[in-house]
Amino acid sequence: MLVQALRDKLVVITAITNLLATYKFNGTTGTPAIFTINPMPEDTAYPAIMIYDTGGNSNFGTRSTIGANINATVSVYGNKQRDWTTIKQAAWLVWRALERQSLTITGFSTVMVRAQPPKSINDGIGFPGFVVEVTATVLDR
Amino acid sequence: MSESASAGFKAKFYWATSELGAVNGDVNGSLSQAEIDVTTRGDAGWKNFIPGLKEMSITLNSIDPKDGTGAVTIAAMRTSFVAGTKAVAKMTDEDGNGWEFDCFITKFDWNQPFNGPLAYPVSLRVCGAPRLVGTGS
Repeated sequence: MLVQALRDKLVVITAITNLLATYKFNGTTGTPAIFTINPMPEDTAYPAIMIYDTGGNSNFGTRSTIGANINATVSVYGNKQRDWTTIKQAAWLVWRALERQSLTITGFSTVMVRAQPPKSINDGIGFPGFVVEVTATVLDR
Repeated sequence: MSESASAGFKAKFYWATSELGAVNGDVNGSLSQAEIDVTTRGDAGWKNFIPGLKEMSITLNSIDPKDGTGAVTIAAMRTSFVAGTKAVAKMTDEDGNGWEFDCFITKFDWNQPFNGPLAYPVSLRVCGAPRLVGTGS
């Protein structure tokens, strides 16, 4: 769905992945730390990206095809000790990669993708981050 | 006793024999009748009317379908508008009850909203009397 499509889009952009730590996914080391689970694994290194669903609404569609505005959040988290420069840069690259760009979402026909500029956040225990909120307007296939 | 209502999104609009499934807004059919004032002094201070001419019009909004029957139907409507020809159209509820009519297109807009899908707002003028289909509307 949307979170996987976002991961597939971001994981091949080296300008972004070069700024991220790597993680051992399914035994494969060296894979960019982009997760589609919330929370991220405790043993991940940072910076890392976490993509998760945040709902949406069904205020789009036609008489013959149901549709929706689907929301997801792309969070770029850094280390406590690390300065903000890297994650801020990564977050803006995420925004550029998604705002009004094409996106292939399995099971849907994508009409439009909107991404909001990065917003600074703090996870409450001191890890700095930026979030990019994404909305995909889709028709069911 | 049970009560039910038909949902608008389940209703149908046909241009010729093709259903326009790409409708993504309201389809509004308006039937009206003129009123002719025939008030006389004999009406004891009340206005009096007789019914005049009746008319019917339809407005609808369709997104721009990129393929499938919806695209074919929109293309057929565009062709009819450009040629200025009449067609038979039909609007019904989900059970096939409603109106069928001869009509032509009086407005065939093409909207390109910056933050939304391309859309065709269309207006139709019914020519002559519409015909009830099924049990009517």
